[in-house]
Amino acid sequence: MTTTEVRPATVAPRPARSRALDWLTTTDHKKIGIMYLFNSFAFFAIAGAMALLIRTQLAQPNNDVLSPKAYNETFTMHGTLMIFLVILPLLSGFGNYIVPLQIGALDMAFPRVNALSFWLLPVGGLTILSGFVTSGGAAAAGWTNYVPLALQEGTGEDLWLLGLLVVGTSSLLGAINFIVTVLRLRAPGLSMARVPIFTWATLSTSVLVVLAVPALTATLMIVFADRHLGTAFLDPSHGGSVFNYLNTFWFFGHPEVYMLIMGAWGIASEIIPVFSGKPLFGYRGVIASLLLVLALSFTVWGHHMYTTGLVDDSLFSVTTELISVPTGVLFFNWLFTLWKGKIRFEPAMSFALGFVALFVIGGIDGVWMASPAMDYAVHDTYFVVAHIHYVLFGGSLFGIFAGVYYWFPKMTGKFLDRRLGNLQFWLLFIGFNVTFFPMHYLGLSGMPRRIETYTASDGWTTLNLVATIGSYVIGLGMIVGLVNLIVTWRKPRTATGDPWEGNTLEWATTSPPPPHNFDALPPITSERPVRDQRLAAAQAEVTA
Amino acid sequence: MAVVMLSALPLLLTGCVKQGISDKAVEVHNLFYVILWLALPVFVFVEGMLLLSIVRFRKRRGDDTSPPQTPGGRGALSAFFAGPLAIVIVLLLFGETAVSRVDRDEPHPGEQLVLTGFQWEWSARYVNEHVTVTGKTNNTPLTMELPVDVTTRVELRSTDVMHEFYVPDLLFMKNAIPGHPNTFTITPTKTGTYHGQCAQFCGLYHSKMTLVVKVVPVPEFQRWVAQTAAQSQPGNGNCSPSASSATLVASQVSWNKDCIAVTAGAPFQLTINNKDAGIAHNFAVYTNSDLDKRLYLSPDVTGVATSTFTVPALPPGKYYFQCDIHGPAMAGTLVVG
Repeated sequence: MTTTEVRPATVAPRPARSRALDWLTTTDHKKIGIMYLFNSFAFFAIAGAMALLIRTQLAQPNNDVLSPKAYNETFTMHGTLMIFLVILPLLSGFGNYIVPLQIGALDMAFPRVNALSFWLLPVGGLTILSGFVTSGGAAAAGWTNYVPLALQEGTGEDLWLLGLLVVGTSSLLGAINFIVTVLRLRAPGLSMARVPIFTWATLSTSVLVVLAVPALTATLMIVFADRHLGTAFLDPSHGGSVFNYLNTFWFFGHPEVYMLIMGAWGIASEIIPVFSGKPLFGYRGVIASLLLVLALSFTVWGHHMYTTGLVDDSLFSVTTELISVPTGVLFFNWLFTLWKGKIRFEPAMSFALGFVALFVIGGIDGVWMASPAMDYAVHDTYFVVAHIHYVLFGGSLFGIFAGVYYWFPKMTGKFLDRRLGNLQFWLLFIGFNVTFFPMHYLGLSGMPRRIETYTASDGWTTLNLVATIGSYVIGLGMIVGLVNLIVTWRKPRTATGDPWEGNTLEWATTSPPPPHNFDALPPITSERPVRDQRLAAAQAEVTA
Repeated sequence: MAVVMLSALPLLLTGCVKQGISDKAVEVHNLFYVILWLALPVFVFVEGMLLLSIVRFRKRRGDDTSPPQTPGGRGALSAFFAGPLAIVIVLLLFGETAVSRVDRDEPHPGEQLVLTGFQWEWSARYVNEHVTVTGKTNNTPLTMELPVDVTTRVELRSTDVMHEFYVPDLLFMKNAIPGHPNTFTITPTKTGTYHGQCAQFCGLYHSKMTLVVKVVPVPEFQRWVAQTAAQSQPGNGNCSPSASSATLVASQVSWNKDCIAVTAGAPFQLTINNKDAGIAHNFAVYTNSDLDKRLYLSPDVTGVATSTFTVPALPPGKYYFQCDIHGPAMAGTLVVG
């Protein structure tokens, strides 16, 4: 059997260092990837606790668990952290660990830049959170930070702007690194038409980041300038216009949604074929869909502004509904991959199937809001809260949990406990639906988002209580996940290099991989080199 | 269990969208069902195929044969693109028809309303009748009446941050944007009392920014307008004695007085004691509540702060004063005598 030698001829000797210092100064993409994941799950715990506070406040009418001010700060921080410091960095964490392995590379293209993009994250995140210790409290204008409200806010708002600038810089540096890595460091034989879908998804996400995050940076800068430098880009009382904000923010804000979901599509597109024992149905169609979504995602921002009376509703409803076509294609590909497969139910697969089952609901209820006249009735209500959570929790986070169970043996050499994994899946799946499905009704019956309380006469009490109970079940599911992690910590390393009968190159090395990733690479003649190698080995055994 | 749960979900959605109290609202109500009937097959197909695969194609113990390695050809992919595209085209046809009807500016409105949102209440000015009604922050919501079967053209304004007029039974919301009035027409066809609320997050007391819309028969509406006009409207009040200075305390977006009296023919000292943290108030004097001519406007005082201004001498008479940011919610009578 032929292999390609990739081990560097000489490895420079390194002075012995303490383990802590080693992690603090590492430029190894695998360690950086793990730090990304660890950091993001820490922020996830904070943002998740905030979600439970929000649900506790809303469990009963006229509740006063949180004051109006504390409530506004809490939901602002919940959204900000989940979007900027949890979901995107979790996907970047997998990207960091997995992408160089999937393309047979030694490391990322710019390892030091990679370390910088990681370390900017906790700095930015803590800057945002530090608003809580200022006298005026944390930023409380929502994660969308609409002006002129944001111009009225206190110091917490400045820390929010500053922290997000730092986080945005981190994303940009990371994205440029991913693009160069995927385009320049692929192993011989790994043409773009053989690159694994998770790597394609990370590449597409990175292109979105490079094109859209500068718009966010500009938005943050003009808000800061209006607040402190005497400019009037946005303040109508000084000749500015709110539209400047809405257009620049949403020009970033909608591609942002795809930054948060494409990685999860990629994870599902890795896991579903492996546990079905089949190739991904329509591999090239999936790539085409990713690229179409990438392009179209820059044309749909106006659908966030139907109710402002400032955009051409028809134009944006056409583009918005068109983007559902390539998204729909992805579902066909996943479903036809499963069809006639030999499906193995590991927790990774359960989460991937849960992702398909829930993300489709998020996609479908998005269609209501894509139609402007319908949007007039449900925009800024709990219907949109339901939608965003079906997309970002049912979609992105279920995809991410699938990735955790799938790649944990690769990263650590240990298997997360299967029974606890299945328990966590069912708690999250049931808890999620109990929490967020009722929010569709709350929206249709008129409950606006972001209100800190309501009265009994509004008729929203029962469904809110149900949603709150569901959220506690989700919380329990997260605790089970943490227990699983602790239990697994003590287990011995039992995972082989290829524990799941994988397809892609990360399974062609040991678990965990050596610092230089590969001692040898299999020949790459299709998008499933590890499977090809496994079959060739089995064939050789038979003939011998 | 999962099968039952998932297939039941979309059915639960039926029958929960509001009926609508205007022709436009009924249009949206119907659009909801058009989308539901287009979405339902997609939902059933995806969840059904998923569940069927889970049940039928699970790997049996001892079965080590390889499943068929179907890579998916161009034919299948073309169908994958064509299916959703066809649904989207149908959806767009219905959606565009609906939105053109809902956005239509109905001609010959019988009523004209200027609806102003501010932190954190609404005030409504009936333009033809010269009558203003307002809510009081954290106290009483705005109650506005609309005549049934009469078209009302609403001009929606904001004096501070973005707000959103939202009445669930109208199946309609529209942003109130500072510096950019939005107009729309509504023709309610069902009498009743309907809840409304600001839907665009607008700061501290966003959740308290509610309003009540009463749709009533025309004669009843006319009685209500006459009654409201007859009550002491700001600008028609009375108070004494006159002094050379006056103090207004602003708290919870309300003045502590609805009438102040000063001596004629000499400038007077006006003190604003603003107790609303982070919120700006000012003092403006007009000839009348139609705001025909503004005679004085003080600089903004952002709370918590106290400032004193000198207002130029005014001829004897009754004037209307307000905070220009909060309009009728902070208005009263200035008696110069």
